[in-house]
Amino acid sequence: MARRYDQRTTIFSPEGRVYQVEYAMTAIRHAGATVGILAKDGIVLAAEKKTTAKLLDQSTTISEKMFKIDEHVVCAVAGITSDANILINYARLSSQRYYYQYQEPMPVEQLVSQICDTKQGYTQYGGLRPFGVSFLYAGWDRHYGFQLYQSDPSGNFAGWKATSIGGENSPVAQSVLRSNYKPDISLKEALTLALKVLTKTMDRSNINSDKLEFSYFTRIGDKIVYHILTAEELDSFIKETDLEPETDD
Amino acid sequence: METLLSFVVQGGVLSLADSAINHSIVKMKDDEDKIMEIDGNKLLSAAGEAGDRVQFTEYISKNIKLYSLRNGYSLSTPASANFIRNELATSIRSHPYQINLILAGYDKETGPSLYYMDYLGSLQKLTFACHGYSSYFLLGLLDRHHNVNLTLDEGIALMKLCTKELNTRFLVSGKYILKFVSADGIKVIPYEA
Repeated sequence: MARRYDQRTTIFSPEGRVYQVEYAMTAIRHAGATVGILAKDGIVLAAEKKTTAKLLDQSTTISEKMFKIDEHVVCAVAGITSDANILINYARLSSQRYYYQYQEPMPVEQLVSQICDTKQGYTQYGGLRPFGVSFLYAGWDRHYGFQLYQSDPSGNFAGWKATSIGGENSPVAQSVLRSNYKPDISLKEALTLALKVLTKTMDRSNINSDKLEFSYFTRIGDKIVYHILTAEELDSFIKETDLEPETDD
Repeated sequence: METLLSFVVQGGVLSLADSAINHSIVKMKDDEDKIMEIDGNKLLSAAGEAGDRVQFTEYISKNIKLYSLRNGYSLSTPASANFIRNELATSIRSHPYQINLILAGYDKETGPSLYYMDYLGSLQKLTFACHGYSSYFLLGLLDRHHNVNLTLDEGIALMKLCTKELNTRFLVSGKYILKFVSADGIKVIPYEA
């Protein structure tokens, strides 16, 4: 009888919960942590890589969980990547449709809101499993400048200054971000902070380019630049940063 | 003799339209406003089939209003122009609207701008534009006299010059409505041809 309210996505349990959505959120906790930090001159997205098989050919894929949606929006994924691919495809289509209609880049919040409408649909209409993905979206538009959004399987989204999705240690990540974030943080400081957060949530021996993905999003003049750090760049960045040895906290 | 005329001046755009509704050989009224005000920063002048004109401009203005309600900011003039063009271009294959348009607007970031559209769905960004028979006389006149650095008063004087030419050469002389869109919003300028 305990499973009475588990099977279908659309049914509330007597306590007023929708279990399938909660299970989807749990699925995301098994994924590696992904951190996003909004700086005054850009946005940092950083993630822990979970699938690092020795024989995996990584020469064809640029990135495991960072995706470019349009010239002015990128996203990072935590959860089931195949579910994410569907939504990313839809996001890219939406963005181009907006451009086709208005000949202007799609404002970031509208894009996020559209994808979340799709996600919400799967929590309400029967017989379908919700999307097991959370996203971090980093984008720039002329209305609100740099923006960082987070979305979850229920279809909720919100703008954040710094946040994390996925990972078993997400409360740790959130508290490190809360105590270290400054409102006028620079992109460079944000990169360092992202590394610090991931160092605290991960096994310390794993801090290298095999287990991490770093990218940043900024503007140089009028041009939007999105860069995923290469393995060499990432390793030299980790070496340079040289975080103080872990204290017992 | 339906006339739409708009040109860019310093800090804004002047839009003029005749105010007559004709049916066959009869003038039905002479105080029709053919320049729709949108969002407080855009002027959409329309000429053509009277029913189509009202239907289409209402449809456009309500959609642009809907956009601003949904998003908390309004559509820019270039985005509006492309949206309108898109609507014309999609309708031409199934339910054509027989109307020609001029969109004038003022945006904080980019200043005044002016877009010329026809019922077939073409779109041009110009500094002056006119629709109808009046273009036979006015384009030459504007080539000679218009530049974007005219002051508002010089702009109004140029409008007077244009309507004077129309009243000289057209079979019938008409009344006009003149509006100005700038950083301060939309102003109706009392106009006697």
